[in-house]
Amino acid sequence: MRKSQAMKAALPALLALTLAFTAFTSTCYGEDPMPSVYSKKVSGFKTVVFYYGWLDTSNLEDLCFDVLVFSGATGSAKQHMIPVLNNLRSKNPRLEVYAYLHDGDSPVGMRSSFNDNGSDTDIWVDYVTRVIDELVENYTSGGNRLIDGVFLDECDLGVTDPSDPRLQNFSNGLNQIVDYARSKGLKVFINGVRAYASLGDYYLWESFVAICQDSSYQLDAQFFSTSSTNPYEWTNGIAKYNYLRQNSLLGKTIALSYADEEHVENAKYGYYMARILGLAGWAFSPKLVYAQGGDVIRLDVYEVGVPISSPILNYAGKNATRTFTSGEVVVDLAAPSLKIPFQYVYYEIEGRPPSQSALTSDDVKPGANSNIVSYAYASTPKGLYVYLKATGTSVTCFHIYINYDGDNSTGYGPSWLEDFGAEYMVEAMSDGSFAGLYKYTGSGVDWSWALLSSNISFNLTSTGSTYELELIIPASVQGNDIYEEKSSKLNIAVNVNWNDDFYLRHNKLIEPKPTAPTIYDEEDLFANYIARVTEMLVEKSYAAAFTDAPSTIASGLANYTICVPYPSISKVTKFGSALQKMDTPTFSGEGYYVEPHDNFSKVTVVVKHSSPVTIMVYKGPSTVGFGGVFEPISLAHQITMSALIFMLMPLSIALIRRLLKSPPPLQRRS
Amino acid sequence: MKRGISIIIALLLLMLLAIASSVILYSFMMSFVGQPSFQKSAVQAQVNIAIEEVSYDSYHNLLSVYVRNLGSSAVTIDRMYVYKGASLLEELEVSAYIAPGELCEVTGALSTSLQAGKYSVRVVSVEGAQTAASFYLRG
Repeated sequence: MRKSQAMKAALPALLALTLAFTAFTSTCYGEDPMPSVYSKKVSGFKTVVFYYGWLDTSNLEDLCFDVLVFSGATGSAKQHMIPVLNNLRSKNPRLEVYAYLHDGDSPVGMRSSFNDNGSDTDIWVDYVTRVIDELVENYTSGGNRLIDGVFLDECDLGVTDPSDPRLQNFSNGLNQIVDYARSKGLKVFINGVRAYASLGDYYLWESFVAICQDSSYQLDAQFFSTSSTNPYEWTNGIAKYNYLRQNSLLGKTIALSYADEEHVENAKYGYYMARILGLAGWAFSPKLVYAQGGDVIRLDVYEVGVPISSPILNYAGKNATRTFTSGEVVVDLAAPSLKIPFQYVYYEIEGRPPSQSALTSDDVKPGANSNIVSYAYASTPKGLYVYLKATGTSVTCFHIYINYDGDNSTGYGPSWLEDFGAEYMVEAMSDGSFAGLYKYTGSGVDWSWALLSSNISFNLTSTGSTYELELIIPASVQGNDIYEEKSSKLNIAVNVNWNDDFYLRHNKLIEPKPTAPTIYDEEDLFANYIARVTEMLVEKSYAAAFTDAPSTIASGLANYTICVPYPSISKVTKFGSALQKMDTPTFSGEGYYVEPHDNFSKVTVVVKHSSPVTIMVYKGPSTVGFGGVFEPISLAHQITMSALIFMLMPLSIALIRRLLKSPPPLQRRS
Repeated sequence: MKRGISIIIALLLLMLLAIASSVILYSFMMSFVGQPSFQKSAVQAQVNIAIEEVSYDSYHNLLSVYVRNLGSSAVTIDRMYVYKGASLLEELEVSAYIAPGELCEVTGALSTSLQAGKYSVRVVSVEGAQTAASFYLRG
């Protein structure tokens, strides 16, 4: 009795202790772990750009990619190519450049030139090899060759009977051309029917998933229903995949999807399908492949990591699934729909607004002559991206006031700003002529600002009385920290006739969603911005994730999602020290949580670090059986066998009883 | 006369059942006791492991030890100790289940990279088995 009374008395104390401990641990790790992304290095999947226009009209120097196929013009157009190629080469020494064969400024396709040369193999080969010689001569600058290889288009005669002499001559000539290019130290990129896929270093799978048919951009509805077996016959979809897989050619196949700015979503299906099928790389472009020049369209598609399962292709359901270290990817062409394991915020200056609006406002002050329609912001490695859509008449400029320290008593704070103190301000003129960052130099109410930077990256478009403004506020300029996530506040105003009219006020920068590097982004830019899995090894009994995180993580913690092809996990270590296994997917401090799936385990690992860390995920025993864990025999197996034994026992007993009760044979006969 | 199965059929069925039950029980029990070993005594055969190879991936700073289970029951390696001379450099928690007779790669992530020199590595199993091996790293 006394014991139970004492226990009752101790209960509140125990509860208080537990609560205090929980509060303590929560305080220790008050900040959320930094999210992480997979680096492109993890898989080596190649981002490819096809560009047939003048390179100096493009934005190629702002993009990051691995392979470029350009128009290898040797006529006057050459001058628009060489300076850009030089810059691209110096920026990325590992870039592979392939030139579309050109005779002067005219493209040379294999089928066309074969037909133009009277289908005479010798004459045709002589002609093409001369074109290759001219290409090499024209694209060698200061002893350095600017191209790595040639792109041979139209490797498809349109003749499908292998016994046809014309087809044999074409094939023979094509082999000679490839050999000649190789003898010149050039690689070869083949575009044509499957039969020639093995000839080149790369093979192009054109019109991949996202197609342009009758001038209409669409998804390939026939992708899962093609069945051609003649490799000289042009086909697409699953018939091509099966041929390439059976001949081990997927690893040299680059896909090209077609989509324009209005149909970029189609291209995403192409990218993720290329990842599921295990191709070497992927590109997308409008149907004319930028023949008229202009900027390359960027796409918000991301690295998915290392595949940990084989692709599952559902022909009838028209969908494909594969699991990667980042999670499961599903491309469903029937719905159509995409399932990807992450949701990153995407932004692109001079492009589409971010995919998520995150700006919160306590309230707004309506304007007499203007209105803020929508607004958003996102955290990027370059700074704080702000998007604003507003309407108004006689709009002069836009003001973005930044209360750096969150203290309303410091900085510019006239009464009409209603309890706000701005240390910095960005002014963007409504005619798009200028955007500058200013530092407040006055005493609190007077209009006194010093220009810190006139180099603010911005874009302003207007249609009638509607304005769309995008700009990036740098985190620091000339030694001044401009904003701090979670503590600084924003106040955005539409200025009409040099008076701030409509404005959003007291907007605190509450956890702006981070952006992740797309496959077109320079990853080094993100090194000090977001945690990354830089390399990944997935072995039979363990997976090693090599991770890096910026030294500036507020919480010190980074969160990694690592899917592994093991049914269970025995241990997760950080540099050889075991991490604590958690029971819930969200937790405080370091540890890991395992979410079992049918054929893989999704492991959420949170580690504290500011420099590279190696995380080891060890495979656990396959199954749990009686009395412990056993690899060779599954639980289901054990249960089945036990059930079998128990089912057989009554039969055995009945048989034994029958034997014992049976009269001797002689008696039975009588 | 009562109809039923004859004694001979009953005997045959019984024999078949006995054989089937024996096979099932044998395979079931083998998961507990592992493969039989006729070369060693029962005590020796229980837990016995040997290192067959050591490899160091200097790029990723991973130390891999290839351990064979020479015993008759399964082992789970859970510790790896790395020494330089007599001094312990690192104690790594690892995990590798090795069935009897199997060779398994046991890999640990080192926090500091190994320089040229002579090292030794010792792996220890949950069941008490342990083994060690020396290896040289050339500069």
